[in-house]
Amino acid sequence: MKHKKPRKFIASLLILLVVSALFLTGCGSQNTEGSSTTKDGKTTLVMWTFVKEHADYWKDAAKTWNKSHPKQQIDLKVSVLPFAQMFQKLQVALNSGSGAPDIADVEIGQFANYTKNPDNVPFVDMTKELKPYLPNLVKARVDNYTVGGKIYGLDYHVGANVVYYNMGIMKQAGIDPKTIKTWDDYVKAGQTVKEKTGKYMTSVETNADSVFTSMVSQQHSDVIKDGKSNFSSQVNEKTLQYLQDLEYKYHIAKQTEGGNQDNEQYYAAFNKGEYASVIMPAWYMSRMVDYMPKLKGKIEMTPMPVFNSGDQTSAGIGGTATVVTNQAHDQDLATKFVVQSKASKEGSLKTWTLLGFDPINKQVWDMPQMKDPNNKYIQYFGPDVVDTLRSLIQNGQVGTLSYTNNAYPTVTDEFLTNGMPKIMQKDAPVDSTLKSVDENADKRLVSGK
Amino acid sequence: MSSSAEKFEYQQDELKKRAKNKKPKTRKKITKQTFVPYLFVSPFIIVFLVFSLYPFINSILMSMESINFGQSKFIGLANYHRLITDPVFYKALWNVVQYTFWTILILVPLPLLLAILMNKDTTKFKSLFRSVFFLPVLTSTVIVGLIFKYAFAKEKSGVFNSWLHYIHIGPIDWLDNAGTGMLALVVICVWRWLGVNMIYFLSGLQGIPKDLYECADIDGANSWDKFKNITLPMVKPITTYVITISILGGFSLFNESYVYWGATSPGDIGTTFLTYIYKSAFSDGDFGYAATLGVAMFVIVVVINLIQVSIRGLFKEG
Repeated sequence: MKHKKPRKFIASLLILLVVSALFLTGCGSQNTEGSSTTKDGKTTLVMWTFVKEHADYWKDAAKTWNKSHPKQQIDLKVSVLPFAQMFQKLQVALNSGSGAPDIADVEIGQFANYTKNPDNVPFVDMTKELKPYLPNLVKARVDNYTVGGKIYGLDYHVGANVVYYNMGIMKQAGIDPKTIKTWDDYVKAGQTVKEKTGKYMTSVETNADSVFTSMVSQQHSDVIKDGKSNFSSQVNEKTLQYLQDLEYKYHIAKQTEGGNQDNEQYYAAFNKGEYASVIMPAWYMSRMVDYMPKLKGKIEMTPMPVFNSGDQTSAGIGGTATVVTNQAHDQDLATKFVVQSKASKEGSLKTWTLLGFDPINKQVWDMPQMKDPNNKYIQYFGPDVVDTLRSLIQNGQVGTLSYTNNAYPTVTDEFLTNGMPKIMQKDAPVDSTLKSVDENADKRLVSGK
Repeated sequence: MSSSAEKFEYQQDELKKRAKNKKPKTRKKITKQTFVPYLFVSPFIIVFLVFSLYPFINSILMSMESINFGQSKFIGLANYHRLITDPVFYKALWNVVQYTFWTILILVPLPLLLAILMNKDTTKFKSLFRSVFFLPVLTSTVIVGLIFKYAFAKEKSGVFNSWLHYIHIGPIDWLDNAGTGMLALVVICVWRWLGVNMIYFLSGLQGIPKDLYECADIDGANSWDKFKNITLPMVKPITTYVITISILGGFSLFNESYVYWGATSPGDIGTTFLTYIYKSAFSDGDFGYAATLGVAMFVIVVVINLIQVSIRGLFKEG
């Protein structure tokens, strides 16, 4: 009997140890993702993206790389995650110091969340690898991801903003889109369209700002000035007033289905022929090909009309950078792979042939493959779209905004929360609403520092 | 005599022995009687220490830091200064206060009334109705939220708008306006929690001795007198409990709001403490400020509950 007691005691101690070990195992686990090489000597690289098509592009890029680099083979593992979920995971992984992938897609609006402290960006500097390609790349696209003189990411496309006209409706109204040169012309054409066909000329976004920011950018204005919110500047106010007037004064536009022009409800409406035109970037071509089969061969693409002479006829809208994280196991290899796959002529061409994007490498635009008649985008839109986009990109008509400024996420959040919905859904006065957006955003910016 | 002397001697021996063995004996006491209970509660203690106390203390420390990809810097009370000047914080506070107010206003009297009905001997199909009222609790908030989101659609074809259409009102853009947005949140909450609160009150009602009512009958009290003087005071502890969990639930509102609007709603009409914490941490990567918001929420909830409990005199009863 006497011997049993210490045994009991030891047993209970052991139980306690096991129990606490169970709870604590989670704390010490190390990141094992992508650390190894495969049995046949390939280096494993893990990539996260939020677009399925991007995953296909990268799988193809890995194949190309392995062909040309037999000694540095790559085994690329791509995970496609939902947008919000991917960025939450990335934030947590990069902040906690473990669990991040080697390569990741970072959407342009999210980028500034990672570059708040220019001395501590959790991505790998690509400047050195990129140098040979820089003269051929669209500068605005590279500038977006440059922080403190270092380039941290590489975009898929230029995102040149254009107007897509539904020629079924335009012909019925008897209007040639090429004659629409200014935004005033656009209103007049819209009134004719409404009169003759009963259709809306276009739609206004209520929870997105791509049309508005493209117009701001084309007039060489910006939503941020000296680190402060700049929505109520004269140009910006006038621009938003124009958009509000399309809806409430001229009645030639209505609020978009789903609040923005990039969702399935809206694709269906546009496909049905409810709008004569939509103002969206070049990457919208892929949405048309995938979701608007009825309009094949009926779309004409033109540069954006202008407000004043001297305005640009396009703007770079949206974008997604591919970055190499500072947790990548083979940073050099990952960086080389990303840069060659995206910046080289052959790689950049694939963004057009596989994804329907407007390539960031200007040399690509002169390649005959751009007009390959078997390409599904050429079949849908005709070869003229390539000329339209090329002239915009090669003539420097594509500007940008302070997307990657530290203030951008806060300023845009305030605008889309307290500005856009009020102005577009409730007909709130533009001037006072924008003033209060600026005031609130600045308050949040000051308190955030 | 001899026996008493023996007894005395024996007692002396015992005392000496005890004095000798004092140390080992106390040790034995610790292992057997003091230690084992701790062993039994150790799973809870460990879970509490690892998952509650440690994160709690750590979040207070984090609330005084600026955290940036592995580099954290102590910045004192700067986050708290930012908090008191942050318009979104006040908007979130106002939203949850409104929400809590409405849920308490509805979810205390209505379940009590239902419980009284369900407790009456004359009510038919009592168990059926009890199950029916309780059923919504078993559903997932996210799925319910999605269904209500479609029911509150702004199009004419939305469920509520199509009802309103019969009386020639609307269509109403429910989820884009502050008042109707709040209504949409409160409707889910009432639909879901009515049955639970009813069960709480029902158990309270069933604990009231029948003779109290019989005495009151003899004294000639009417139904209202009985309700006011017997039922209400007797279910007071339950009412306090229901109000307390409603305050906690109201301040930690997240699912419904997130399903309706995600982390950003037009005009911040759906922003709550938790959606704001979530957004600050996981989309803005501002973990320090998110911790500050968490600490602020903790303080506010504790203060409000202390006030509530002391006004209702619970401390005196205890």
